[in-house]
Amino acid sequence: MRPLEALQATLAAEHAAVHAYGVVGGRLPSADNPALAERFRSAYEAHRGRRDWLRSRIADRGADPSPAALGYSVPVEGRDPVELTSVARGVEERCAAVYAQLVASSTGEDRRWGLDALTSTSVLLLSLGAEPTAFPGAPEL
Amino acid sequence: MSAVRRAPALGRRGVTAGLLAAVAVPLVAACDDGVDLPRLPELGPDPDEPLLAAALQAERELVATVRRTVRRHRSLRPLLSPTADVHDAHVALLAEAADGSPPPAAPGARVPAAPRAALHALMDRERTLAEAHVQRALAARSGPFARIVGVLAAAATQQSVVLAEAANDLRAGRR
Repeated sequence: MRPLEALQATLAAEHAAVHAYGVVGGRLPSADNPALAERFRSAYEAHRGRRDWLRSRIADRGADPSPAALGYSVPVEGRDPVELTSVARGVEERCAAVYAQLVASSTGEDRRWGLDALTSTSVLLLSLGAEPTAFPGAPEL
Repeated sequence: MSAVRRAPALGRRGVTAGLLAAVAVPLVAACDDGVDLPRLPELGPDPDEPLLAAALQAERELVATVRRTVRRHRSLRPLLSPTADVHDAHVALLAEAADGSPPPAAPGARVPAAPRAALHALMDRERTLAEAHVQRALAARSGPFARIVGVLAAAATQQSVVLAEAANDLRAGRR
């Protein structure tokens, strides 16, 4: 994958993540789950920040940043915190794989950014109840 | 409760085969049948091989330190078994990519006498390992190799977080 394609793929993942956290954060009864609500809010802000960084990075290369899709399928029905957390973990696992791919497809500052994002997401996964793994971001291993 | 996923051998072989092959340029021997072929530049060793060797040695040292810690503090065995599994998996992957080079001595670091101090020491070593892997990823010529050591860095960071929480639990008497 070329560097610009990898940046665009990562931006697409961030668009999806921002949308997903909007959904799970909106569904969570936050008064009853303040710590989890704060985790969702913090993750939402982190993904928005990454999305904006990627947009400007892609624009700096003279390309048009991919827009968000018109809609995303977020597999959640109710307001159960366990179910919502599971969806959030799925978002982060997908993002970790995309960040790892960006590391492979880039150099310099973009690779550094991908490494930072991969590490941050791997730590966030723990706070969402995931077990540590040997190869976060490399599901084929 | 080890969460270490064992890789299917085929998938792992494919990954390790690609780690260094991705940067290797095929060596074409000079032809002496009278046809003048364009000569390829002299090829040196793979520039990522030292990074691979350093990553493998660092993982082996971490494994040795975890084992020394468990020998000194048997009560930490349930906590540290998953940590050992994670780094064993890293060693297996890197050793396969390194084409079975014989393991150099990896004695492991000194282990503090108090369990909590031992956990803190391990946590520090995980952080150091993660940062060293990040530097290797930044220096790597091969994208696939950079990805793999980046993933190992993320795993070591996860372990540092788990060990920090365990050390706090020990202090609070929750373990």
